[in-house]
Amino acid sequence: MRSLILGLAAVGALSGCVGEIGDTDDPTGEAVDPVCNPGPAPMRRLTRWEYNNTVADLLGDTTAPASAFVPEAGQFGFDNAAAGATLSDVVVEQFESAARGLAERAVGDLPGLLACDVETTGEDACAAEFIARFGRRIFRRPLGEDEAARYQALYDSTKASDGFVKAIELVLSGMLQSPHFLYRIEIENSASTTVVPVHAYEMATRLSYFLWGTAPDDELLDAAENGELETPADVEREARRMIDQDRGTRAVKNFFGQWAKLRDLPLIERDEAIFPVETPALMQEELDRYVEDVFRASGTWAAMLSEPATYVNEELASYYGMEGITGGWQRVELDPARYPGILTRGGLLAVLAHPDQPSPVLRGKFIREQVFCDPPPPPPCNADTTLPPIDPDATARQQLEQKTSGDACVGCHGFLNPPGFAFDHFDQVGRWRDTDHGLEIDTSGDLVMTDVDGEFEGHTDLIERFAESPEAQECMATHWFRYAYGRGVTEADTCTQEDLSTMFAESGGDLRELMVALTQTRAFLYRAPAEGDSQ
Amino acid sequence: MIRLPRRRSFLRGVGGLTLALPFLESLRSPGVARAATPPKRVIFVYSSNGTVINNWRPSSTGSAFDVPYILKPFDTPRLRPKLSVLSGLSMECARDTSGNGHSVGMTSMMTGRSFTEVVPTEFGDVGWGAGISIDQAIAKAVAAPGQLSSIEAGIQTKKQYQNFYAYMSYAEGGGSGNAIASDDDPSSVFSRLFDNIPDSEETKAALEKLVAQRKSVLDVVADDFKTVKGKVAKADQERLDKHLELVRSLHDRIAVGGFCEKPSEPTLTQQDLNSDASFPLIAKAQMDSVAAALACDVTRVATLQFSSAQSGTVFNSFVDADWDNLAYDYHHGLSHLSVGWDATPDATQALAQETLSRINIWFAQQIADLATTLDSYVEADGSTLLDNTAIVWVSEISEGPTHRFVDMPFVVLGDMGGALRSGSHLAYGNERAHNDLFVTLGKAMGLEGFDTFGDPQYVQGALDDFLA
Repeated sequence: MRSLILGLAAVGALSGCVGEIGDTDDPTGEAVDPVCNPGPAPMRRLTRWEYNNTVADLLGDTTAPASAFVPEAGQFGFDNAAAGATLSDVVVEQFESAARGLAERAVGDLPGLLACDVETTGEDACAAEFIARFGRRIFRRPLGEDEAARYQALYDSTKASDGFVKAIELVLSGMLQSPHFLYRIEIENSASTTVVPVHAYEMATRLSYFLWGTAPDDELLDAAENGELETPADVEREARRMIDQDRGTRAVKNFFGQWAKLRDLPLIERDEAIFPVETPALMQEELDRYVEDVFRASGTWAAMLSEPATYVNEELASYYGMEGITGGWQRVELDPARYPGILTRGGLLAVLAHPDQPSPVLRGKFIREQVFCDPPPPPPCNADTTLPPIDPDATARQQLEQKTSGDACVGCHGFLNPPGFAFDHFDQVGRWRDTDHGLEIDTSGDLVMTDVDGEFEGHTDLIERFAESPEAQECMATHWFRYAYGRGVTEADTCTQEDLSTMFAESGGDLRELMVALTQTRAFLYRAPAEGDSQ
Repeated sequence: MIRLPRRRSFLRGVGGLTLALPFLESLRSPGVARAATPPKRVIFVYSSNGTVINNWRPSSTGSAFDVPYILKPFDTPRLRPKLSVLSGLSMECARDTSGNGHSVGMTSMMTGRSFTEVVPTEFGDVGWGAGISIDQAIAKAVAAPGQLSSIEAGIQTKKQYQNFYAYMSYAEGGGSGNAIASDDDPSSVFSRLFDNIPDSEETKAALEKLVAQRKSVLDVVADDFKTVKGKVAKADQERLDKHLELVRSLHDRIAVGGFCEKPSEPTLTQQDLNSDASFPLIAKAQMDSVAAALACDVTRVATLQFSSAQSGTVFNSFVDADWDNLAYDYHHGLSHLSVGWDATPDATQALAQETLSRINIWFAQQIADLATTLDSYVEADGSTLLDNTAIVWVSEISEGPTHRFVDMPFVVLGDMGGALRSGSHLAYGNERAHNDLFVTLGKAMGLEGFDTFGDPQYVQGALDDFLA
């Protein structure tokens, strides 16, 4: 493999940092400049979603075996955090069981799997070709000689005892349990005490799982092999190519599905009479299609917040009370006074509610945490957080205001409740309501502790404000940092984070440009030697 | 050798199917040598949101105590002598930790340490268990070579939360990477425990071939880990080393056969593993598999985890109560409608307390049923499996309304072959930490030199009045 020589100037242009990479190449091994460090790059394991995508792309197997795996212990708001991968007997047994099932099904179509004519080429030659070709896809790099020899030996011994087909099956089963498949291992340059560029194949993997949620395709691996994934410009070119492909919207859909808490939707308890069991899946589909549409059109965060349109099929349209919609999924234009953008989508508002009524507190908290990255402080340990029983003569807002008006509560609820009240026209299952138990709904309030403070009439007004907020835009970039790098923001990331915010703002809040920018940072292009490295 | 149960007992399977308990030794697991003296076993049962102390704590101490309301299911001639109520144990490590009550409690409960990987959240600081949990410490010490060291069976443990709230057990070292997930799928638990027990000579030959193939694959997988050695960061290397250790352990324990015939797989009529109505059905299936696994000596340590910390389980489809007059029907909400044991409840709080008590009676009944199942297995020396087992009932807090970590509601059913002095209410006045209970359990299981557990600053030593 060719060693990488990266054009550092391209990174410098993005950074506004002090010093240059390499300045701290100190033979004593002292820590690199903490301000412009790439930050930590903890090893990541395939998430269940990534595993399912990967085996679907590699093997055409759409049984989604990883859906039965132990769920990721989400950290930093997303399931793909490095720290979210737990390990125990059951996890390893699930990997084994899934690999055995996948391999057994794959050899059911042996000609399709091998892409090699056993009659003319011979079993052993086809097997050797399979190990090299498929191994490269599964390990996302060519196999080392010792690795190929190991799988060859497994093939030879199994063929002798159990025949050719079983031998191919076991080779595949082994590769699918290998750490080189399950983990995104980046081999350290152990001699280095300073920042080093990420190797080309590892870069292909970083790009592919970030932008596609799956393994690199042959084109990307070829680019790595041919020295076409060496410079930041190479990485940018590939990133743009990948985003433009059909699969290029996977990341943005996965991101917003988690950002909007829709993963919790199947678990909420609601009366089945008003929230049929199939609704969560329909709402997830609605959000996916909406996000994809906005991303492919203007692609901006502001548009995501304000586009008065959505996607429904006949069933979901009827759920929302829309008239005249028949047939399959279609885009529908909505009343901009009621339904601007992602914050008015039914799934998000249904999650942020109680079984029998909407929750202004949860909705207010969502806005502080997800829109402004400024989560409220915890309620005191002795706070009574139970809601009063529903009173038919008062709106939920009146009851909640009374409950949280005490001196001990109002300090936080004073800024937490109002943005939540703004969404009170949406009920506990995400549908519009004109009144609260026949009483008039008051959605007005005063937004405080943001850069777009002031009184508002209702949610539409408020959302317009969010779309213009630099703080909200910066917060969006922070969420994407966590999603892309699988970790929280550390002190070392100060310049990376500043660069991203600047880029995002300069692009007019274009999410596609933000994703490209995320591939151009020090955190993405380089590795810092972690503290306490082996060697 | 497992002999026939004293009464050839049949359990009603969850699908209405009658299933026979495993009988008779017919095959031997090659890795495990069968002892003439039955091994000791321990089961940790977790339920969420604490208890109602006033309906849980006996009014008098010693062996003559009246069985309190919540523990009534244990008031049978066979179970009452095996019932130990340990009141006034303090979860000291949790008391020393500021943060979200349920997170602090859940991570301290089995580890005896203050949590780690702490991050602030809007609900207070949260974190992960900071060290090995007691079940794993015992499992590691008592597992025979080639034996599954423990089984963690769950009932909707990841339904609500998938983070630290959802984990009770930790491997050595603790932290998120060592958190041990409970397996919430009864068919997966059954299959992991019993798939390698053949039901006929023909399947035995096929299984032997399959096991050989699986081992050959795992050998190659294990070698793949070596390629990386020394080439990644230390933390990543530790994670890979741990994974490799688990691969090797799997390799070493897959073997054909067991000490009993293959039990019938419990069938679930309700296929939705996440519905509230499935909760008791899953529990039954998991308990039957755990009991059979202990009887067959597939493993000696088990956990049964009911839901997660701060559980939102809705019990109204299987626990009788005046649900219509409660503002909340989900467990955590309900627990906040109540008051602590030292306050006087008003009418609403009294109703909440009564309902919470009935929920805990339901849990007690599950444990009593499990104990009765254990009692139907006769071991090599004529004792029953229950005689050689202790079931330890734990929760992450004392009571819901206060989230207190004093007066933790520990109950132990069984005496591990006489290693524990069971049958009494032992009151410790919050002058002993729960670490000492775990030291006691480790010693009772026969662990050599097990003089401390968890954070040593809380350890005084074994509970002398409880350890025989």
